[in-house]
Amino acid sequence: MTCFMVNEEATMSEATQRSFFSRMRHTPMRDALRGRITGRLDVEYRLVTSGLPIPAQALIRRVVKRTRLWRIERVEVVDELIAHFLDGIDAGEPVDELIASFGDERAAARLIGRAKRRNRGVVWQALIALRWLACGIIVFYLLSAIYFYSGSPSINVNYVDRLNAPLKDAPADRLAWPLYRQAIPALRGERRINDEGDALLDAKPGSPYWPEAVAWLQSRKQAIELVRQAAQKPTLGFVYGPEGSQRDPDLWPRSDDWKTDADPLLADVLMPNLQDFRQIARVLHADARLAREQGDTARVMRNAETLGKLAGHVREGEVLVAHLVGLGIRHLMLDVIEEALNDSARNPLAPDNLQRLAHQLAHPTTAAELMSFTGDRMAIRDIIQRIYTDNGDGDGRLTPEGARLLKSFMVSHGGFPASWLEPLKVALTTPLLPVLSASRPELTAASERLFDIADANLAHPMRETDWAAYDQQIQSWQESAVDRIQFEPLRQWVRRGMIIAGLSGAQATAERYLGRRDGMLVALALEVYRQRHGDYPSALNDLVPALLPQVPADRITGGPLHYRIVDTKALVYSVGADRDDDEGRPARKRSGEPEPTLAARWHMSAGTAPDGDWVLYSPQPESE
Amino acid sequence: MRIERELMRGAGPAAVMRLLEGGERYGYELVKLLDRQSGGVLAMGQSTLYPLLYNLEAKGLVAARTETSAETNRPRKYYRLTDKGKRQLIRDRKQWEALSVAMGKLGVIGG
Repeated sequence: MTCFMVNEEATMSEATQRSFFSRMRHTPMRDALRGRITGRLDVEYRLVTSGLPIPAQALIRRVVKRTRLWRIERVEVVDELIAHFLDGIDAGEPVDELIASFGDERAAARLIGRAKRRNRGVVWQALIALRWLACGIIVFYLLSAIYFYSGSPSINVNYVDRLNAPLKDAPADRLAWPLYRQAIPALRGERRINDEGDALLDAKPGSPYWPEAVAWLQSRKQAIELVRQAAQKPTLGFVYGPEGSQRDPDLWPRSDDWKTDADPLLADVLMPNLQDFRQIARVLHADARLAREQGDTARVMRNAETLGKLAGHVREGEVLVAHLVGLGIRHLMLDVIEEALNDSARNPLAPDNLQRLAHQLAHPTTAAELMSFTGDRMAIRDIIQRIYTDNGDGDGRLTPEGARLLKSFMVSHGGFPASWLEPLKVALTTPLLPVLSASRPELTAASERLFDIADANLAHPMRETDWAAYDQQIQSWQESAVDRIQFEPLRQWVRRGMIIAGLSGAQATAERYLGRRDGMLVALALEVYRQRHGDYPSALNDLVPALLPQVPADRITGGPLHYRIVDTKALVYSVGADRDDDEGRPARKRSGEPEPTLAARWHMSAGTAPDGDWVLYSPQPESE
Repeated sequence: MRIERELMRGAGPAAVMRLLEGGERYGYELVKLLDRQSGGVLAMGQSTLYPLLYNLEAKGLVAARTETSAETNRPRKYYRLTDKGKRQLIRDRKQWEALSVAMGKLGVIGG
């Protein structure tokens, strides 16, 4: 205690004799700027010159030090506590009692510090609030990062297996793929004949390339026959997936190098056969042309039938791209029939052939029979199971693997800017993805809702569909910043342009085929009528019910299709998107060139629709 | 009898504001008045009084001025009730009265 007292007195002596530098050090900036070296922030000086007994000084010193206040605030507190003790001493209270009644030092320091800080200015309060906010954000970020990096997806459903499920119990002798596979190598290798993209099989009779095309076809008679046999099989039998039919080095020499994930993404499943099916369809079309030249109507009929069945096989792919290839093949089938009808003066089609063709074309009648979005729905479900965790109740959060998968979509589809800042931005925001992005049920519900709308529309003629809700949803993902973040996985699909965004367009494609098919059915009936009566009927109703169960509806207006005779030939048409009868005159492109299908559009106002009709069947002479 | 901290937290500010209703006072004076007028029940040390005063100041319920005494040449801080503090005291008084009545009815006090 004596030692303490000596030290305290020494300190007092030093403190009362302040140097200039000491005063300088304890002078507020404001005073210094005014040229006054007041040293008024010197707490120690105030204490030792207060006249208080040393124990009271020590108490105040300890309390004030613990407050961690600014120096100016400490001075205020010191002055007040000194005054308090001196008032007590003046009132005759012993110092010991005053010290005893002071209360808990630590609590006093804490409470005084807190209370004085509440008196600080708005700017300081705002800075403190910001500091807390920053701390909160950092904590939130760290927790999000832990939450994010601790998640991993569990892939419970193998959608590739589901795609292949119909093949599971199919007997080998009912499968078409083994036969197509044998025929395909011989049907490849068609050479280009000009710079405009025409290939050898585009050559028509009279063309300088026609003899070469004929030779090419005749040398492949066996392969073409094999295709016809394959088309008779009820099931295609192409097994999808890396270890399925695509791994066939004889057909696709580089197939051993293709990605071979043990558990492949459905959307990444390759369909190299589609390109070959397109080629087979071109061969059949060209062979039908040759058959007409040879007067072989039976072969024309068989090729038309084969094309229809081939399109049915392609449809088994269950994904939109396969359906679209299937529609392309069906159009080639219509080309074969149309060309045969146009050639009826030279090679008349017998009534039974016309009826067979009509029966072949009678189905399908709706877009839902031509295509489905089942495969695409499965592809999205597959994506969702690969990017989210699964709690067993359909809920889950985005995972690091999922983020990587999404990033790979972005990189491969140009959605990932190459700015040097971008990797930093991605690194910083990635852990927040589970919080920012839609939850698994939200994303699932959003995608299922879109497919439900699409499926419901597919069952109706295009004119009766309502794609507004669908389009609005897609639009909101593009425009709303919140939706853009929340539904990034689906948005990336839209960006890919493969799935979802094209569903309404896909139905319109199917509807254009159906419209042309309607026209062809009418044309076949008209030809039968002409053969029976020597002339075309005055109205399409004359075909009902003997040759048609009813006049097909105009797929744009819902009214009956239109028909007129042009130069002794029948012309069948829809009034088109402008709903105005232009007597079968096709709408024209901006270049002025007539385009028979340009007016095949839906949900357009008459003012914006192209002027002209949608020509469904036109007896144009075959030209080179 | 000493009041428990939780009760003191509610009663202390009202008691101090009531003492300031009569005019401005300094810290030591308030300690003595609280002790004397409450019969020692609301006696509080510096460790309680000054944080309480600083909090009331931060809320704008009291205001302070520092004056150096000509006699002692010592600075001393005087506190007074602001208009906002007066309104708060009216509200506090009503609440304490209601509380007192309710506690009386329940037999917690006055029984």
